[in-house]
Amino acid sequence: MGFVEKVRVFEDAKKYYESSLPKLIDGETQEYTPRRPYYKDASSYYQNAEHNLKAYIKNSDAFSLINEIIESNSPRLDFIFEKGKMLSEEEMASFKEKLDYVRSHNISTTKLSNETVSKIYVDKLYEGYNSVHESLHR
Amino acid sequence: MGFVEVYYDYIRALESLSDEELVYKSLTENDMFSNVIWEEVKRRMELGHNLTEIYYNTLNGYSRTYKYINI
Repeated sequence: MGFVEKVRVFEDAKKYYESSLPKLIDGETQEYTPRRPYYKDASSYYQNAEHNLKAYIKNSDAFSLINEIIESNSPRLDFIFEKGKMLSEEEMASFKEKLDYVRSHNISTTKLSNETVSKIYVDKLYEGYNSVHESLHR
Repeated sequence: MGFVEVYYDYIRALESLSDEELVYKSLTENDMFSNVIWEEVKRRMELGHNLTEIYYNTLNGYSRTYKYINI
């Protein structure tokens, strides 16, 4: 979202907020009533899916997980950087070693379909590792 | 079930949340999935969902809302 869009959203929000301030009716304030959700049980569905994904990431070997993620070509994967936060000091060292291995060898050796996209993911994972490592050693 | 299946099930679940639930989640959760949640917020806003209204009603405050929509 660019600066102009942010300003537009902010201005729209400001106008809406100012026009929707609770109005006094016979001395009583109107209360906001939330709209109904789209799906009755969407919240529990989400909680289960979230739990499953977290458990999957936590229980996966870092190298296998990286490979799976790269092969999946899935969008919205920044969260995977957080994998580093779940690792112990020894595991982090091992994780770095594996990332180094992936970087030093040609990416195409790891059964990858899209080399360019895969390299970007590995670079991002590497950056994620570095930021976690730096934050732990500050 | 591999990573792809688990991950896409999570995305489907996220997309099934109501706008109100999504807004609440985006404001209250600060964990490994917060970036994914914000991506869904942006996607819905691009589709024309009026999340701005919900943010204001949820937060009930001018300055806090600006902080959170400033993504």
